[in-house]
Amino acid sequence: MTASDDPRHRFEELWDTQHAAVLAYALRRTDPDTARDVVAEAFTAAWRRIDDVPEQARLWMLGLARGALSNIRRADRRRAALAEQIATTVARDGSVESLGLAEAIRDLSDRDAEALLLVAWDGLSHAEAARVVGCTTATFTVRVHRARRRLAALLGRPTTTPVVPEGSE
Amino acid sequence: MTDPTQLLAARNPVSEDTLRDRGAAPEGVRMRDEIMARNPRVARPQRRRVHIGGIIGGAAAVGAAALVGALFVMTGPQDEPPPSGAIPEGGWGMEATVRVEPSPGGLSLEDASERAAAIIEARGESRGMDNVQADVLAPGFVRVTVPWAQFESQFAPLLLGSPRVAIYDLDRVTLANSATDPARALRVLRGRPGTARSGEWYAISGSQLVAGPLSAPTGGRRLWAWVEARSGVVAARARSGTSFRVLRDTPVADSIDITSIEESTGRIRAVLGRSVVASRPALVVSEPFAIGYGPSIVASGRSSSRPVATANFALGGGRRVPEWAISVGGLDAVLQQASVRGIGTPPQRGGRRIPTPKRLRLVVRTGLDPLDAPGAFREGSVRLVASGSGGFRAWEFETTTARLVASAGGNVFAYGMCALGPTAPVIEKCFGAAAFVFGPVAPGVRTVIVSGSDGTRVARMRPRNGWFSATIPAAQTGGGVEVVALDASGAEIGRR
Repeated sequence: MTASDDPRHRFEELWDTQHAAVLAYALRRTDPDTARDVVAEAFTAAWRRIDDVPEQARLWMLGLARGALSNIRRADRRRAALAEQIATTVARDGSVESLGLAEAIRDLSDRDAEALLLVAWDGLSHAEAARVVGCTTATFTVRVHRARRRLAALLGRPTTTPVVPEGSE
Repeated sequence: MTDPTQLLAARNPVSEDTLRDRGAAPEGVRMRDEIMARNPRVARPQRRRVHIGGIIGGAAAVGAAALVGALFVMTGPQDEPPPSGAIPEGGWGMEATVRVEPSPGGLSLEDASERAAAIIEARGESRGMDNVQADVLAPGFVRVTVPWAQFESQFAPLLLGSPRVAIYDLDRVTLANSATDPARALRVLRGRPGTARSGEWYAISGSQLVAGPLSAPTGGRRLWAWVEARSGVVAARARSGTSFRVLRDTPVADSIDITSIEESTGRIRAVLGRSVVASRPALVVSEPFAIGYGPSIVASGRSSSRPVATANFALGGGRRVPEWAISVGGLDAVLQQASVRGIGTPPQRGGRRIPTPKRLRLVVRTGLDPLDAPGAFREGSVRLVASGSGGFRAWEFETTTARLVASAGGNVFAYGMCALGPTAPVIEKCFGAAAFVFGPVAPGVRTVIVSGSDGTRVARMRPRNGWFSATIPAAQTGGGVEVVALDASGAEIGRR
């Protein structure tokens, strides 16, 4: 058995290369204690399925982390909604702009907040984010566009200028 | 204008780089080793044996799922739409349930429904109906709420198919050119002899819809032309100046997909799904979103290569293609209105109720383009809403499918310059006979300021009976006239 065939070796490699990404993903969405639980649960799932790790391991791991976070949230109904959690994080610096942004984020759905976060904080392309949430790129693109527009509306400014001929009245 | 995603990105609480060493720290290594020690791995699944019971059970499950699906279809939204989740903004409007049927072999029902909802909202925005809300009720069904809508016909522009790209060979299909023969070009545009009258009218422009008031230089004077919807021709306006071409509507190729778009400010480069041979100059027309009735074209450009495989489009006036449209592409599905219902009661507009003027009735009965007023005159609906110098008068009235305004001034009787709503009813703008601009305003509007197309103030007035009206000097006519509504404190609350 070569090193690359050894499941333990592959898991250690996965841990070394993906731990920071998974921990960052979790810390952006929850408190440090819960983030630790998310990391543990995501890597436990990865260990159980070490034979299934795809080439794009990062997206797969973020998908597992997302599932782990969802499980934890479902198990603890007292936990604040994701959008609320994000809003709290955003408002941390206390600036007027941040407080306004946080206020707007509170009114987003969790799905909208998650779509925006995958792009803005996790730095994923639409195609990558779509793999994490398990939908097509087109669907995710629509989702993030609508989320962005809703956030812009909540902030009181549009994101795009309509493409429309003038003088159509 | 700041993208809210950038605001969010600037507040990223965690940098991945700062966590690089955490996995290799003692606590990290301990967690890693515990995971391996305490949890069994799942072996790669073997090929399953087939059991007859499993097949029967599976078939039963599929049958049950099909039954549930059938029940949904039988009792679902197309028969009795679920009640609205909320009263639309403004307190009244309409709600429709739309059925989505993806093209065979195309998108899944779920994806097509999501995409349809997004496209419907985008179309609403592009028509100034920016409070249109579209939500996926279930795979294959989208609920559309349009505040301030009164008629089913007001949904029609939202439910068009999704057009793509057409390519015209300018050398072969130019019927007239306003730079060399403006009078002939206008005759062609107006559908006078020599122009086909059936089919769809196309209007292309980087900045102006041609199927509306059009000014063009004719022998040193500007001609005010009301171009009616005719067909068989394409009016292609030059990027600068007032010249335009009128083309025979025979594209070299159409229905070409755009596979990708790169956009920078005011410019987009589109890669076409298939290349087309056309002599230069070729006109490439894109309709990312159907605006209005029929294919309204919002961008045009020349081919950048031969054969045409890419197209460079110029978007004037700071316009942008919404980001989602770049990667989403067309709808690739058929939308059908399954049901529609009104919500709330529209408020009565101002003005004086009057008997139907004979001439107005005649015009409605005989002279209307069915796209503008597809319906019968609604008796008793006529209100005289504005009057002014030179015998100017304006009437608001309803057909069974639209709320419209007609106006007359001097010897001119103009019709259909304004189909009202569904838009935010703070202020609306209509152009009438004898160079009048007028429209309804919301109760909170105390002052209306009218500015000409060159930005100079034309009039400042107090609305009467819920309407304003002003005369526009001849030199100020055109699409650039702007009206601003102010409240009692002098703050702007609406602009058209």
